[in-house]
Amino acid sequence: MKKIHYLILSFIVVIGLVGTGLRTNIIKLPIVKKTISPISLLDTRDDRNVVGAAENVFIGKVIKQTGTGKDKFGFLYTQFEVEVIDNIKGNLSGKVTVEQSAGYINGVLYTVEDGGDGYFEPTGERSGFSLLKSGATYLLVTGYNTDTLNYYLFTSAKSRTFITDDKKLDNLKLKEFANSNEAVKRLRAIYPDEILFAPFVSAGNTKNSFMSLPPEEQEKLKAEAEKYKKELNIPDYEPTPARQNIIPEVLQQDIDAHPESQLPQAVQ
Amino acid sequence: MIKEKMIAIAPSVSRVDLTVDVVSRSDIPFDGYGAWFDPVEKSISINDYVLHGYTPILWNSVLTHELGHALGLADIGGVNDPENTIYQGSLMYRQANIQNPVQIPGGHDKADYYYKWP
Repeated sequence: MKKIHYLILSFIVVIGLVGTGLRTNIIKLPIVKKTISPISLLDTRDDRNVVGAAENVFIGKVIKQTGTGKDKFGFLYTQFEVEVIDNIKGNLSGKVTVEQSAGYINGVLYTVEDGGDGYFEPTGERSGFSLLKSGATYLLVTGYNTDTLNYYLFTSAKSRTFITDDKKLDNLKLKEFANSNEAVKRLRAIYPDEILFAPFVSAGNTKNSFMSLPPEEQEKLKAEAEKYKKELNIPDYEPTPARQNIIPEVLQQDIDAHPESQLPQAVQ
Repeated sequence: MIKEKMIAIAPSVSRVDLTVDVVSRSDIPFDGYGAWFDPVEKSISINDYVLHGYTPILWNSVLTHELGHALGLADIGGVNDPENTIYQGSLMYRQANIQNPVQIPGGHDKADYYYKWP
């Protein structure tokens, strides 16, 4: 066989291997694309809103990736088995499945998630985003997927904060280490002042809200929160009004501000 | 429940350029997302689970924002840039203004639009 034939054959083999690697997502390209372009009513710049909208906020160690799939609306997700180390909001224990709204297709990572420090460029690409890593411990902010019965990561960049991937720490030391993390202390300080997300309040979806805790538990957490507020220099927040009636309030304010917006009455 | 409306952006109705539908997603990982544009499906989905009970003005505002995405405009402002408040009056600001929904394109929106569609 002539040298040129070997070269062509080698080239074809390499192309085939690369193609297979991309198809099976063994090869992962440094390209991140956004799946959809949404608009959110949840203002994640204020951590009180982030905690308030979450069903669980906890410290979790990622054991392994357990699967990928598409939900019934066609959106890609990747599932991870996560061991609960400690809770900030809620009371999880043992191992849970956490879903991240992202996944690989042909070696390219697709995600719903917003940018962290910035936002997706007009091309739809962004660098720096990644899936949860096996062996790493994170502070996780999650909702509950009533379809898959799993915990889903919020798509805000605040939904996960890397704490450590030190394999030498056992769970007890990991818990101690995680609780010394400033991000963890901050959310513990904020939990009593959480602002519930109005649409979730309307739908009765406010499990684990601070207000739902027994009084003695609330007192204990408030004392802890005060300690962290002093340590982190977090100011006291103005008391927030009860959120159960937020939608009618907003409705009336909106109508008052824009009387022209009222739909015309149907002609009888 | 899903209600579908077809909007033909192009003059011809024999080809649908964009679909708008209303969904009710309580289970989704789209925390607080009132609406989204899917460039593959060429569809805008409005999430009644989040927008339920809000006024037509807010619905109008989020739908117009998504039409901006359908036209190729990107969001203005990042999640973690509280200093970037000067763009809050823009239609394409990534965060919906519940108290005072933006109704019409602002200067930045128009600049982006004319840059994209000279």
